[in-house]
Amino acid sequence: MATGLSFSVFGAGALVISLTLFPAIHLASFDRRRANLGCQYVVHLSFRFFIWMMKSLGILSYEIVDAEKLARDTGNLIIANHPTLLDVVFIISMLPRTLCVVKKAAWSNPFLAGVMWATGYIQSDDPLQLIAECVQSIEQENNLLIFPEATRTVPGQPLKLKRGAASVIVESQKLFIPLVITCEPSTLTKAEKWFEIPSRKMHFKITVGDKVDPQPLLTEDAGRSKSNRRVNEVIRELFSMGIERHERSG
Amino acid sequence: MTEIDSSTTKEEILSHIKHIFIENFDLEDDAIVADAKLYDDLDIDSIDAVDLMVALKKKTGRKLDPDAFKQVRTVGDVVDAVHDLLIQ
Repeated sequence: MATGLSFSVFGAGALVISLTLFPAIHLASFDRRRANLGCQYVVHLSFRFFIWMMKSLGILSYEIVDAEKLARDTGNLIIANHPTLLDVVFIISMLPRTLCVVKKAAWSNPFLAGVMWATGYIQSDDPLQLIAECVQSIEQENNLLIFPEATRTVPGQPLKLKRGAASVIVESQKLFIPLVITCEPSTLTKAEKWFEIPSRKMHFKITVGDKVDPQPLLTEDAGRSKSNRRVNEVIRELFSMGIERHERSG
Repeated sequence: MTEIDSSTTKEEILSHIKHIFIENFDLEDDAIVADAKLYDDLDIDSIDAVDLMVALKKKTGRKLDPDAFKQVRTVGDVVDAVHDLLIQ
């Protein structure tokens, strides 16, 4: 019941904001980039509200370990695992100005299309263009969020990461922040329908990792493809270890 | 002079391609067989595919047509695409 309400609020909120606030922000600013930043901030506030609402309704609880490592600065490259539908909502609620890489389908989803246009989120369609845009956005000091799994984790399957995120790291040579998310009991995953809600309250645990410097992994002699594979393997290990630690500590 | 030209046999092209795969993608020699699927079996993604085309261009001195390459699914398809390009 409460979950149905949450979904409705989310969809309706996205639509209303897309039709009012976003166009207003874009009309009021001459500079598209500034307008994008403004809209990203609106998304951040909306997501904070949304998380607060779900917590108040008793749908979920959460803990964020080492949140201060996300210190409210800019230019962070955040690499997160992707167990549920709410991951992006949590992460953006923690960071005021964040760009995400989103699959192309979102631009034709009636509820999300407005958000995609207004914020300047990056489309994960053409791989080379995607990498170029991501590198550029990091250099412009945006926070950038990428889920290397590309789609939600398939429960019970080994983690499989696409190497787009690794490619962005190799190309930009920037430090990245690994972020590990788990949710107990399993909900809103790929294996369940969105309305199949557990009777138990869901609990999210998010751990912000230390910044990782990719430099030692990037050697002159290894070509781009080899470096991508190395960085990807490091991300996979960080995720697996982090998830395991969450599960052990309960 | 290029390493691969119109007189190169398909077997020789395959061995060049094996070499590229081992060098660039950390793959094992015996995994690279003609009917191995690039994406499913060898975990070659679209960025790797671009690097593969650059490597092939170096070896053949010819630019591969990206559209023709989109149809490529297996290692054998790559060999055929290179072979067809060179006898044109």
